[in-house]
Amino acid sequence: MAPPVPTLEAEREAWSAGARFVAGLDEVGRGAIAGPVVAAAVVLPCGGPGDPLADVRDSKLLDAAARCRLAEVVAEAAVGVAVGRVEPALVDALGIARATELAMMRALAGLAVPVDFLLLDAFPLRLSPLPQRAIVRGDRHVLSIAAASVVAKVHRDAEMIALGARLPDYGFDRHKGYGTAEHHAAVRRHGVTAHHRLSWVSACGASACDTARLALLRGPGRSLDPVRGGEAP
Amino acid sequence: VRAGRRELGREAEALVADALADAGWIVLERNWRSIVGEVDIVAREGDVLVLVEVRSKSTVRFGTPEESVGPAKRARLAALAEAYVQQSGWDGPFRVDVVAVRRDGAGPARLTHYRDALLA
Repeated sequence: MAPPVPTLEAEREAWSAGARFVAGLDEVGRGAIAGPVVAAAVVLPCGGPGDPLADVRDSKLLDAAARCRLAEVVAEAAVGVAVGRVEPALVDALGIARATELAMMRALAGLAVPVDFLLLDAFPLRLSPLPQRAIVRGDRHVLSIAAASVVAKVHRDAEMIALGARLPDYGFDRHKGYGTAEHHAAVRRHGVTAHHRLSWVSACGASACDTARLALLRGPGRSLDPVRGGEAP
Repeated sequence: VRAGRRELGREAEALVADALADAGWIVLERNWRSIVGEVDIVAREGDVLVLVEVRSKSTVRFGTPEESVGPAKRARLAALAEAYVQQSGWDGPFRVDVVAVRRDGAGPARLTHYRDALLA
């Protein structure tokens, strides 16, 4: 059976209850072992964006080319789009659930419109005092959540591709920080980087030595030589 | 801001974040925003919290990257540092650094690190 087409049903309910700026939120990179967790917030115009968003789906149902095209369409059609991020060191410190909430709060803080209602995929955003509704499979059924999933995915992928260019040994441009066999092999061979999340490193097959090194890197420890003029890494 | 220039800035920020991490710093935030403005990188060097401003330019024709941090920019960096320290509840020492990224043509980027740049 084909996946459902996301609709404005949940947005319309909120609008008719008096909300004016309804933000759909979604996150990407939650399950990755490297890279930031990225959240996006999308506010669609009250009354609906019309046809341009007819092709928007949950980012997991689209290929990379379609996501990139639709992210631009969303940016055009929405009254507000913003992205929030949390770095690997903070993901380790906060735990992934709170880090994800923080990324979402940051995305909301980046919006220029006064949001008065939130639509979320599966989990409520406890950090926010705003009225909200968490919807199971919201990324598939709710248009502004699906749009947010596309924006977040495109943003994070672009970043991981750039990281892949800087650290070619790890294949970040291909696996985007997720724990693929190639990624596990690269970590075993070359060790961890500051982009890896300590909380998952042991699970992905890094040696105890690597885990200790990363802990040292993240601990209060001694400071090493500062960056001087010269070649970039 | 033209798209090309912003792109260059983002890439420079990423380069600097990597270089700092390689040197043993812990990168806590990138593009941290507050109502006062945005901090490119927030990191810890040992027990010191450091806010890092990244300055990048592809040509020195209109001045070097480090020369582009004027009095207004300094004042804003100081306000940002205060805002971050207050919001994060950090109670240790902190400072503001500037890292200049120079890239001429296709060659490798050159990073120059100015510690405690507000005091300079």
